[in-house]
Amino acid sequence: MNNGIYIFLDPFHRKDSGVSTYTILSAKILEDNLINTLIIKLKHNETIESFRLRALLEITKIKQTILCIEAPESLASTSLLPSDYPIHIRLHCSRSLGAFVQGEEYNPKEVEREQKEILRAKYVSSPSWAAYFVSLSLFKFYSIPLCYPNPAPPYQKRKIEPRKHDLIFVGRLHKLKGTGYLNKLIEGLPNISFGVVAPISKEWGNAKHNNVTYYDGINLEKKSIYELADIVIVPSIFETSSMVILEALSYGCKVITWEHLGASEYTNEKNLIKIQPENVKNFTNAINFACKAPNPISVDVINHINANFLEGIKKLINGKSITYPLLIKPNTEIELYLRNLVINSGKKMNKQTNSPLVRKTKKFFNNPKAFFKDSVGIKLLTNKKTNTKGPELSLSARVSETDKEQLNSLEKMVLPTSSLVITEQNEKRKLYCSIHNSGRIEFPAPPGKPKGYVTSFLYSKEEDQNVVDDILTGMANFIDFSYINKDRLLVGDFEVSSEESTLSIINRIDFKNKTNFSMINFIFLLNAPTSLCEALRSIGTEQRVILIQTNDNIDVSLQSIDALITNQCIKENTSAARRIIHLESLLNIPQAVRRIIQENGVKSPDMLLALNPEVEIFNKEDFINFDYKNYDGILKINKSENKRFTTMLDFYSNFSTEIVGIAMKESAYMRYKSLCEDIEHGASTQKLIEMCLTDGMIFDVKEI
Amino acid sequence: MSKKYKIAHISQTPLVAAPSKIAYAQRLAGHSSVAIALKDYPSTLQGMFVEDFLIENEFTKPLIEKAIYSADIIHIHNDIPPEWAKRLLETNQRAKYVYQVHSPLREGPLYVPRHQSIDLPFVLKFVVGQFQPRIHVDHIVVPNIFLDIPSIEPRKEGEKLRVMFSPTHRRPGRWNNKHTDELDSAVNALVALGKIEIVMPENPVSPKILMSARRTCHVSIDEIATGGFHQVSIEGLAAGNISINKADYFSKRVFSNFSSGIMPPFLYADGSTISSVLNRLADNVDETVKRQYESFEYFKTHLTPIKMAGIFDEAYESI
Repeated sequence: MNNGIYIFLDPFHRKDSGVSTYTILSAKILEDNLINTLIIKLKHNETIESFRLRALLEITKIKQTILCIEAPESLASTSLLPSDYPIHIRLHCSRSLGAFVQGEEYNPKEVEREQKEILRAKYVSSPSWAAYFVSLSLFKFYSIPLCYPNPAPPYQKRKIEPRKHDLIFVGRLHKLKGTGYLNKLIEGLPNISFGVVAPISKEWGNAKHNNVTYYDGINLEKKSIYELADIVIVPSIFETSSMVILEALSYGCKVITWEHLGASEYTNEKNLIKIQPENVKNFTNAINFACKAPNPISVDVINHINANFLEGIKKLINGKSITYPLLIKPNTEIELYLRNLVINSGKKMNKQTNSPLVRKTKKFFNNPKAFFKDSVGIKLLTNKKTNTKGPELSLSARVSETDKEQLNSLEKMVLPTSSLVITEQNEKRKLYCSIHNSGRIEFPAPPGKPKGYVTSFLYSKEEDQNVVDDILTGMANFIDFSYINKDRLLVGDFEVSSEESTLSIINRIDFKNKTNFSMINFIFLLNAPTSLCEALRSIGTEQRVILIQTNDNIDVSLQSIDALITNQCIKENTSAARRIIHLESLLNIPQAVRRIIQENGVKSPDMLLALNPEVEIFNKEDFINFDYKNYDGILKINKSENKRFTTMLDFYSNFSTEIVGIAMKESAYMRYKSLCEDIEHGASTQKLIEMCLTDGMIFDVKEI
Repeated sequence: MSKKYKIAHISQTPLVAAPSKIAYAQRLAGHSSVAIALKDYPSTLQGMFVEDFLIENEFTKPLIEKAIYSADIIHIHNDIPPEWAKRLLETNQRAKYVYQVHSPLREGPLYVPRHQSIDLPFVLKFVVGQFQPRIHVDHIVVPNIFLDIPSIEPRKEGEKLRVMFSPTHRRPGRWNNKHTDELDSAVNALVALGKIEIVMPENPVSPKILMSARRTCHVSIDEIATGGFHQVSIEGLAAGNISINKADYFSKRVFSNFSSGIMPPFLYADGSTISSVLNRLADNVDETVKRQYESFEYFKTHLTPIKMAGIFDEAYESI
């Protein structure tokens, strides 16, 4: 018995939510064991923000000792609670993780918020090893969570009687729940009667098979559901635990599922038949076999699971030692399968979005003009018109059957003649923009912003075209790095006098074109004058301007660029360079460009790195308590009197002498890599601080 | 006693009255100082900030000519057109020309420091001492001046927390983006729970009316998005409000340059803490009152117009 209260937060509070069912069952078991509980659940029409606030308000009113405040990581419902509360995060599989597992996009902000809760929680637990292994793909953990099972509903005695179906599937008709496998099983077992118990959805209309009957799961009692058949199949792609498995067992059903799902770790009894992941043939055989065998009584299985759940809670809040494992840890093969599950899904996602069919279909609907303009047929037509010296090939000899159809329909369309006339130069390099020495400067909106970064390469009109060709060809040769290949790189040229002022260039760009330009993430300028670099860097706050200098006559202002790639000796003091890459050969320009993009890419997780880590200024607490959302780094300074200063340069000069330690997020470190490396080799911190603050970085300054 | 100057402040627009407030404070300190704006703001802001400016018309033209001609110091704010630079030089080549920047770099409307493109022989460059100095690193840091008489309305037992707060829209820019989703939802939730009362006029009102309303409040919320702070925070101090913002160490450290090294008593909040901060204040009258007095005393002790004018004096005297 414990004097105190165990609080659950339920940010879902839905009848069909696994977390809500878990919460109710857990509270019941704890109450039965004389532990007071309170469930704070989401109200109807309440937003998650209001729920977080209400949770804080209700908890602050509690006078009893709080044993634990348990919540799922999903939706970060504990985020407003001060860290001195005993927060317990249980890994029920967040929505983001669910999306990630299915190869869908997830919300990085949500992940960041959930990550913060995981890292600051006093307790972290997991309903299975599987949940932990898969969570590792999105989250960091300071230590391995305590793994103990989710509780099962109380055992219900089962009558032996004829059933409506041989087996049932219970759950949403969703990819994550294994609908792909379900369809294969239905098709592979035409003589087996399937009951599908799911919320009403449009998928019901797809019931083509005679061996399937659909039931509205929302309006059926649990008892009625599990009396439909003796066997329940759970073919989900992934489950941290699976409430359906626990319910099925408690109603005396036999369950067939994958070996890698969380609940498979709960028992080795025959009530739960575990199949090697993705082996549909074995799954089919197991169903055939199970249909012929009687159901074992599952009361001991349920009691065992619930006893282990309670032991887990006691260990958590009392630190009670346990000499036996509360779960069956998956073997190495399953562990690897789980760890790769998300990676494979990510690859599938990329494959799906990158497939030519998907891309072309999207392009057809989003931008039909560009679709036809870029199609194989029109390119061949264009070649035919412009390349008069080339061999006259028949179109039909050069296009596939699919393209022929496209071409036939294309020939029927009336396209403006101008769109067919593409000069050889433009065909060779489709110029995104051209900056002249007078008149308005225009940047078209990047064509259908692709996922990831938008990169632009601008070169002087006077530049040796062979050099430009070599650089562009080199950049296009990275098979594994598409941001700078021909399809994605926005190539442009410029002719700007070095006499023209920055302000004059800025004044030639109107608001719309500034907005278009600010959609570009990286702008590489080959031998551009300082004024152009400065102007392009000034018209937005986020884009990175990188100067490639191969010409000694080009002046460089390191303040005006984010990075410099050069094969020249730098006249300006390089201590102001945020990032500088010295080239041994011009052939290395493409590699340097790639490196800059990779260094400045999004870092996830964006770890805090201490400069000069051998000097132990930062301790574990600094890293745990660091506010990753609001700061880019930590500065530790000696406490001293705040003296008057006249300019910030004056201030930085004194301030840098007070700094005893700097830690920066990896993203910030990489942005100022050259400056950081200088410091690590003993240089003053003054320039780094100046550049960081100029660029708007925010530091958590701690006086010691 | 320091030297007394004749000073002419010149700006294209009223710049929310910042130049005229400097001129007023300088007159309080014994200087002869006048503010000249080339034009007023258009539309809704028209007339709101120009009461202490000279804007050129038939009547004011000779006054402006005289002010320029006799000035010892001509203090240019942000930018002026080339024809005005020419006019100033033709009228007065004896004066010392000083430039002051108010707007941040890489944000509209002033993108790059313009002092180099204004054809005047500037001998000093000033920058407003909030977040801007970290961008204009070689400019002398000077304060925005506040002419308000400090006052306080301490919260009473049983009185609901009165909060002055103005929702903002997203704008592009590092320092211009003042919007935080969490702030809006926290305020809405606390109002719905009956824990706080929001004070904000629905339509634009004059700065004086806004200040009168602020004086009846206990809390002023500035933005909690950027790490900087704005006029709202200082006005909050003057009105004996707790000024809530997300100002970082450097923003406050720069401001402490005007207050003998004492950091301003802002209350820090970010998106994840704003609701708990407001909730705590709503529940705790003693803390509210204590912090209200800290704001009031800070303003009263350090931010009086004459003290602020003294900072400009020091800079002028270095010429």
